[in-house]
Amino acid sequence: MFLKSFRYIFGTVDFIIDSKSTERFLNLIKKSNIKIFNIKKYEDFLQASVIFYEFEDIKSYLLKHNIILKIKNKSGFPYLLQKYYKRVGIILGIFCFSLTLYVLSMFVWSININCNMNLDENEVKNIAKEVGLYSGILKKKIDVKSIEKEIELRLHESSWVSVNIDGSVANIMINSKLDPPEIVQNNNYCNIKATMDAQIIAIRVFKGTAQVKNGDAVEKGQLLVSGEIEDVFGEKYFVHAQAKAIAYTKHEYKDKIDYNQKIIERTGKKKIKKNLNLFGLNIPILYTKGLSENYEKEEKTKIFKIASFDLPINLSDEIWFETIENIKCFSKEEILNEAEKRIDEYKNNNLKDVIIIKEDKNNKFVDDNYVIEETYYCQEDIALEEEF
Amino acid sequence: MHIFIVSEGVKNVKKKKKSDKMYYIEKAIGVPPGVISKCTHVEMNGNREVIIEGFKSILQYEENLIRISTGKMIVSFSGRKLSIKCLSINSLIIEGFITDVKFIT
Repeated sequence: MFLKSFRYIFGTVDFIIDSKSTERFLNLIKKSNIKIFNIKKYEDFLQASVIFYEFEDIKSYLLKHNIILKIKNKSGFPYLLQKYYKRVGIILGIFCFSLTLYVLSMFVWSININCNMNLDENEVKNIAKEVGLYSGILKKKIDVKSIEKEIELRLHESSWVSVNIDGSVANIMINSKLDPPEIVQNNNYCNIKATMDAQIIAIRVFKGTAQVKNGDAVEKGQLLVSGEIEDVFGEKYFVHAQAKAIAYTKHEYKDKIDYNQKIIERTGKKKIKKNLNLFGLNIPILYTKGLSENYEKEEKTKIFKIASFDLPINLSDEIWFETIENIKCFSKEEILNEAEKRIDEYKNNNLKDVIIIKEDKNNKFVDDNYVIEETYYCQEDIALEEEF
Repeated sequence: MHIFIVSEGVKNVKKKKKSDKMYYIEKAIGVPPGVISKCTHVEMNGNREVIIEGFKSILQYEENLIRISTGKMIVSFSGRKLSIKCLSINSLIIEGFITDVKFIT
């Protein structure tokens, strides 16, 4: 393989001579210090090959000794060059192609993100762009170590980040961080107070002295468990009070939904703006005028790929929808659905860790409004640690 | 299988030529023949290839027979489809199916 490549690069000439002078020819060649190879004898002639740059020497040398050789075949790179020497276009084309390839290989055209956690790729790409790694940047300008550090600092969920430049592809690898459990500070002294008005059902004291008993009604901010303890000898000392105070509580939710509401609607008219992103350069294909504030934008980007490899070419469509502000009159069903949605939202936000025992609903239509008045009787922990 | 043959040993002890003296020196100090003296080196790779270094001339080149002169003797290789793979000032490579090797002194 190596020998064949070497011969192709330097070029070879296959020639033939008359079979009568075979031995004489071989001995002359030996004396001349010219290397020949692939010497094969046939009935009428002898065939041999010589490297391109030694052919003229061998030819003139044999002519002196009255041996005439005939060229059978020429092959290799020098002959290919000779063949296409006059075709300037092809040579220029090859040169331009090589130059383009070389210039393009100096840039990063694609960014791949591999991470073992649920991260939005676009978010990581945006961070990478902010810290100086984006499609179309010169590879020389990339400071891998600082980029790795910056990404790691900005992504709080990551434990380590590595950036590898592989040809024109930048591979960003992100490993997730395992947060250690939060350490509860027990060193400081504190009391337990009530978070809201309630009636105590059960109070479980782990540390401290209980100031209320089961069945007591308490107000918001009232002391439930004191951090002061008196031992059997009558000595007093302070602790970090710990307790659970399960109590009956009451939550109220009031809201009002208007029949007539302002909504922003799409008129149906739209304008499309197309951009071709070629090697980091944005080229507008379709340009639209007259885009004011009354338009909503939707963007779709199509990235061209070869197998799983992203090409530095993408087509983005910006669709601008015309919008108008209308006053819409909702139907009863729509109002009820909206009310249900709001109540669910309230429960999810405020009554998440609470057991609802009883619900009083007093929802009604009043004039042009739907009034929500709901009361929830619950059971929950009202203990809140407060330092002193 | 590789076979190494260093030819041109003792031909005529009485004449005591320079090469013969060298041969005895080599024998005395216990080095292989050809280290100090100049002689032809023949290396065979099975019966498919022969590398000859330090030959004088090619006497006969046929498809079935190749005869090489090494100065003091003639080495002839018989076989089928014999050809010279490479030829340079000092060495040559013969390839083909070698069936017989003869040293004619």
